[in-house]
Amino acid sequence: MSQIELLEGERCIVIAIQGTKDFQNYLLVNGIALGSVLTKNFSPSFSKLINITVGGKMLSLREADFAQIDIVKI
Amino acid sequence: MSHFALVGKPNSGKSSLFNLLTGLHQKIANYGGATLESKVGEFHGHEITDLPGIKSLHSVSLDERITKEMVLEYADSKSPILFVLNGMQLENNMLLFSEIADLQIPTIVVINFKDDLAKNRVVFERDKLAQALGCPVVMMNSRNGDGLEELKQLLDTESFKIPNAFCKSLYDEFQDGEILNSYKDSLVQARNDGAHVHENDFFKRQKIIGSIVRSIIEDPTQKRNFLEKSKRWDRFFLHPIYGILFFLFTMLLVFQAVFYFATIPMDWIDQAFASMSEWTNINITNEWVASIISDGILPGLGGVLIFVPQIAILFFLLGILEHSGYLSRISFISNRFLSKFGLSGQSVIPLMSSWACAIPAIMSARMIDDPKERMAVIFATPLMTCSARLPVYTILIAVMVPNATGGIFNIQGVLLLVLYLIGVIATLVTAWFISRRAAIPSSNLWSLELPVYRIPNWRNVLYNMYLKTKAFVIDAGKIIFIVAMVLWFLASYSPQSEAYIENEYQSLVEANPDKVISKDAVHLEYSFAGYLGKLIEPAIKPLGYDWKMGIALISSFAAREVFVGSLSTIYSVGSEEESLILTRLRNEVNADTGEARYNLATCVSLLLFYVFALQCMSTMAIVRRETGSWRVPIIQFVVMLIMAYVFAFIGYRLF
Ligand SMILES: Nc1nc2c(ncn2[C@@H]2O[C@H](COP(=O)(O)OP(=O)(O)OP(=O)(O)O)[C@@H](O)[C@H]2O)c(=O)[nH]1
Ligand SMILES: [Mg+2]
Repeated sequence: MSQIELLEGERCIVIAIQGTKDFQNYLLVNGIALGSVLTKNFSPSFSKLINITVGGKMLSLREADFAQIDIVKI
Repeated sequence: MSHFALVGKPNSGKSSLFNLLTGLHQKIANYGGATLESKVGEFHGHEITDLPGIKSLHSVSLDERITKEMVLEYADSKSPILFVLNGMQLENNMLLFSEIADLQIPTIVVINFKDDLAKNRVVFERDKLAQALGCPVVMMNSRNGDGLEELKQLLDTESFKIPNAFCKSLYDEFQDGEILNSYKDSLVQARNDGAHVHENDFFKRQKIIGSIVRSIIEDPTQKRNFLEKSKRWDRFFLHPIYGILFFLFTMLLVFQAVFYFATIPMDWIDQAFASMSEWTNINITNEWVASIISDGILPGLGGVLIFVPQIAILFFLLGILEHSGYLSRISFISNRFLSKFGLSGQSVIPLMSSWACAIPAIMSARMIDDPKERMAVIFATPLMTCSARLPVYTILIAVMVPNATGGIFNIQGVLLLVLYLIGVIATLVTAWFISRRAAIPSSNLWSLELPVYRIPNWRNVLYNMYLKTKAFVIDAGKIIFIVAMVLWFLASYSPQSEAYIENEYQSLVEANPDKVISKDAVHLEYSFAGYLGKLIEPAIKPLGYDWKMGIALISSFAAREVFVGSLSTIYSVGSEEESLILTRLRNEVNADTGEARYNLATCVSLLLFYVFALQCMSTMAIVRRETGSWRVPIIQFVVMLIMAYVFAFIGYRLF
């Protein structure tokens, strides 16, 4: 599922991460892995960034990067 | 003497705790990456090291390297650590703890942000946690020192314990010793070739941590609301319209404040130095001593002290930005704009901190994930207007336009803002050029952590303002003092005999019977400094400068803040009366045209020269350190000198 369908305040769970090994490792170090629960926060579209809460911290990712994370809404 | 280190995630309050324990003043800020280098302090006879924050032992990022190396060293020597974690992000922080626990380093765990935990009614069963981890656990508020006594007692009795290993349950097929060694080997290897975290390893750790946390927290649903307040603020500060307007307004306010609030104390200081010079001339009978003090030292020092109010205000306002968490929001809203120049929101902290000084700014470029962007920032940052340029700008603006207000804004303040903008534009264009040209592969990794908003710790902001201003005065003061002495000497002595100069003076007087000719001015012209200035005059004449300005210009290549002091020294030596720096500049006459020396064109030209030129040895030294060779700083120096010359020339011609 793509992030477009995720609205502010909705939660999702990570089911797969695409992209290079470096990218996956980078996300892991930032606390995002399979099974992580993410909440989408206010993400104004002009910024082309997606704000999420993960593991008690607020993180911004680029839209294109976030699209590499496969999620399902919960 | 035993020694131990503070280890933990970025922004977990290590430096705050370090300051509490040692009484030192490490930089504290509300974003990850405030501490960039290890710093040693002393507590009750123990040596403590404050380290940069680290996200994981597996991360490959540059700013975490120092800490990673240190932790591995500690694992070998079994030196203890104080593991600081953010109680509001317990699970997340425990992941790092588990990685370090597996290195079997003696540890005391500090759960920080006790106040946030209490406010959000998160209650831990601390003893149970200590039991599960296998080492002592203390609850702390590193901001106000609550819990410090208990920690001090544990430190005094050296109650560090080797924590339970997580990997025992992760890799139960290995024997104890074997596990530890293979784990360490994998980390050492990761350090060398950036090997990846074993995803399985991560899940297993997460699972164990999850079960520990569930067993010690009474009601895990409570803390979910903790971030709500910050999220609500973000809806305003990150808003495409309000957020951006607020940002622009804040910037305008900063510059108005720097210019406007500072003018009154600046006038006092200027006045005080002029009176001191006068007093010296009247009361010190030894002519030589009086001259060196009133013409050399005092004008030089006055040239730096006068800027204390402005610099203090600038540091104070930047301190508020750093402490509030707003800086990361600026990163967010400017990310897309910056990406057009090959930069990103990650460059905002280095770029904005270079308004204070390029040196820490260039170091903080380490927290940029993409090596190409980092190089662009290192190369372009010196073009941002650092506080050492402020003196030059201020004085020239004041000469150029008399104090006038247009509506609510101070015109001089607006001009200052324009100069800062030129600096920003030059930085962006240069960064764009470097990011297109530099043959550095891009890693294409990017994220930005948004810390929760916090009310600034006022004591810390104010104290830091004091420390930084003091450092500015002392560092700049030392250079200015030396330069002023050398200049005074060069300007007061001549390779020619006294009789020769007297002769020249007489013939000048005879040739211009209706002009008042100052004897001191003639002396200056025939001094060593005069000859030196005349030597370079042809090179700077196209920019509208005379030989006197040339001397000041040369002297400011070591450090640009020297310029005002040098001018002030040159003009004091060359005239009989003591007056304010400003008056002196305003009264200088261009010998060729008879007009004011500092007319609009000359001021514009000088300002532009200082916008672009890389006149700072310390910056060059730090760029060398961060890039590993002299190549970059030398290219930087030459490129910026050319830009300075070209723009100053254009500016002089246009006005
Ligand atoms: N409310 C509260 N704020 C705290 C506490 N400890 C630290 N802070 C704040 O947390 C922020 C980070 O503090 P630092 O001491 O700079 O954190 P650090 O771990 O040294 O950060 P890095 O050097 O960037 O890794 C600052 O804004 C502190 O004022 C605490 O116990 N309670
Ligand atoms: Mg720190």
